[in-house]
Amino acid sequence: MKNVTLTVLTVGLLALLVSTYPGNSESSHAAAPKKAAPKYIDNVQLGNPGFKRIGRLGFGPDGLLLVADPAAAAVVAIDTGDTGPVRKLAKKVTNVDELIAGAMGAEPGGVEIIDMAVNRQSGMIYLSVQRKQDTLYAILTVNADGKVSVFNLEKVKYVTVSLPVSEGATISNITGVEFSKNRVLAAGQCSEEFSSKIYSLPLPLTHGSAADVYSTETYHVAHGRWETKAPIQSFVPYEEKGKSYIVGSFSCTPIAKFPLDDLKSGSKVKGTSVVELGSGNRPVDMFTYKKDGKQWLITNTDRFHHQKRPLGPSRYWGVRVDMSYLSSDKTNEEAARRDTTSKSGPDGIEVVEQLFFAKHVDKLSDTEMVILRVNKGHLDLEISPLP
Amino acid sequence: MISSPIRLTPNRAVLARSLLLLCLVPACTRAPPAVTATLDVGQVPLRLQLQNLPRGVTLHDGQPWQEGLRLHHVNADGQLAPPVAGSYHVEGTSVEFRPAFPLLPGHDYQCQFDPSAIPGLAGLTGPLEVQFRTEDNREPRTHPEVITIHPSGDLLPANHLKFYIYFSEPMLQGDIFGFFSLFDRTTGTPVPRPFRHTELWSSDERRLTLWFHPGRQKTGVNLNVELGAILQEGHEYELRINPEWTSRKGVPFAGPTSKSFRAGPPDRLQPDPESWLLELPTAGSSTPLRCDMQEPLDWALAHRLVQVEGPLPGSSPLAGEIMLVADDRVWQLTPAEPWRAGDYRLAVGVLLEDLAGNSVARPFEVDVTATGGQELDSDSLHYIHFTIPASPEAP
Repeated sequence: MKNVTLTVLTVGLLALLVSTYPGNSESSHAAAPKKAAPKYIDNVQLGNPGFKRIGRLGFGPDGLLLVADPAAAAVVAIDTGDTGPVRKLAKKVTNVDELIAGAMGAEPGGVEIIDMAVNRQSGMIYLSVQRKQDTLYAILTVNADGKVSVFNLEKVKYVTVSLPVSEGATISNITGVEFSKNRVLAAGQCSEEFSSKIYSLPLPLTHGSAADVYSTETYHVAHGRWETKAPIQSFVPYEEKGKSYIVGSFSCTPIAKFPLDDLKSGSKVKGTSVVELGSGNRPVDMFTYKKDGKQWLITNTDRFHHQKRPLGPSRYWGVRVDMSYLSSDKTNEEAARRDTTSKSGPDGIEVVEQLFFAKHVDKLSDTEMVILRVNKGHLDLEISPLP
Repeated sequence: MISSPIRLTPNRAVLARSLLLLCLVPACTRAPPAVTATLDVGQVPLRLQLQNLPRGVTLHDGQPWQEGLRLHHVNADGQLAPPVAGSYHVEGTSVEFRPAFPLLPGHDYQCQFDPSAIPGLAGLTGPLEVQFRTEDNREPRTHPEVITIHPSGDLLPANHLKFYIYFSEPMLQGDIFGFFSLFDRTTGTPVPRPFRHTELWSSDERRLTLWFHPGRQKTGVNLNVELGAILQEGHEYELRINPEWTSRKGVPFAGPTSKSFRAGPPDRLQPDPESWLLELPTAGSSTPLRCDMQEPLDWALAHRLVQVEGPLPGSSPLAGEIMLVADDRVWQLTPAEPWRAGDYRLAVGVLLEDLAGNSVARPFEVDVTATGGQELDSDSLHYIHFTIPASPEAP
């Protein structure tokens, strides 16, 4: 018996094509929710939210994905139906940036990962991504098997809440969107003023509504003396003894705690810095967790002075802070002289070695976090134990 | 997804059609028809067509097409990226693959069919690969340009805060700050890390607000204490933009761009509209109303927060073209319609800032330990009243 293989390769012409890309995909998540989050959203729309840009992400309960659209000055809440059970990332995904770029039809380096959020109810990791050449924005997910999928936005249940700005002014950046006990909080920055507005989006989030402006301006007081406007770089809602707070970091790196319950719409927010991470750091992500009866704050930071004045092996590093320390009304001056060779201190502030090279970090549980880590020019995605 | 369709023109698109024939020729028996596989990449969705499948071999959506039919981006070095995400649809003996996003124009892709990954197809035919390039239907690739940089003057306070840079087209975003540098011509050295690393683009993505790092301009803030202010009074500087930075279309600047300026004394005084000088037009003319603000003020805020209302008692903003001239020191309004005689007012939002961030409402830095000083509510307006008298020639 003889096998004869004849291969004919024809390469030629072809027709004009117009693509429509509905994004209907086996590799995409189904829009149909297993369990809706109706108590958190109202006047729910079905379809494509029509994002102008996709920025920071956050997660609420029952699979409620919060997406900042800074170009539209809006927060979009999507009922993903992704409600668990928890299947966390089984093993490290190396070069996840290449997988994402490839999935979006681009070469490695052709995309930018803007933010990462973990759905703690399912373990699913959500990433907001921009394809650079045509500024196409998308949300992608990484499941427990490390599989990268496109989150299909064509037919989702969503609501859009606008973040009001003064006439003629625009928000250039939404630096955070986070679910709190009875509201969603967002922080917006204008390109023309060095300050933030903090927005409160009452629950249920209602499509077509506008958020309340919690504060028109955010301030920072240095050394109890010099008060200046200062934009919030990142923040996390925080409950303590039945009271609501924002723990926020300013562009100039101090971490401060603001009480929310006493604030009225339109009032000013003044934060006195209580923790300094040292100069030249830009805090990126924040979350809190409980361990051994204590509340801790994790934050990772991008140290833009790394090349000239390195504090550790990477420009990306992070700390954990004993939250009780944030009750202090004095600035921790020692923290400003952070020495990463010293593992602990001063006073409840510790360098977290797992956060070296961490570009983004989010909480998975009170014992684990998900880290998007820089590794030789690429990005790895992995789970790491919380200290 | 946020996207627009891409077209492939006939001359650039490639129809790749591969036929693989597998002939089993047992002695003394008639050969069954050869299985043929065809990959059509000339349009989206890409299509795999199989013909002459043996009886009992069928195609369906439940087969692992993500393994068997893949599309990859191919970079300039010929390296394949991981597979493109998308959806599969089987109809009869054809399989369609629709990418989740439009393929990038002017890029190479490779479509691969691996029958060994599909149960039932292994051994019936061989693998296929077809590489093609999408049409580069982008607009002509002109060099981007810097249209203007504000403040436009060449004397800036030593505690200057930000620049507005206008580009002729949207630039490639993400990690842009490596393309900016500040050079101290007086010392002949670059100024280390002067910029705030937050990209703040206008909604049309043509205006970038480039901030000096405020942490170095604020008294008592760690960066200021450790490194000092960015600008030294009396020094000459050059703000430089690296020409290797490309537009979103991938085209770099034709050459370097720079703005030269000298650092003057720091400015810690608030703008005072009471000191502004108005140059009034005559009724019936369309000559601009000019307001000398006595110092250069923030270019963007002066456009947004200063307007003319009237003739009173009407309070709606007067339509017209606002410009800042004389190195951003003079605000002027050229009305859309000729001026009418009457009473007017210049309404100034108190958040209007000078180049150092001092606003009409408050200084950039407030010493909270000091007594005195009054801060205005941020929503309030400061009014400057003026009258345009009737002229004999005016209607």
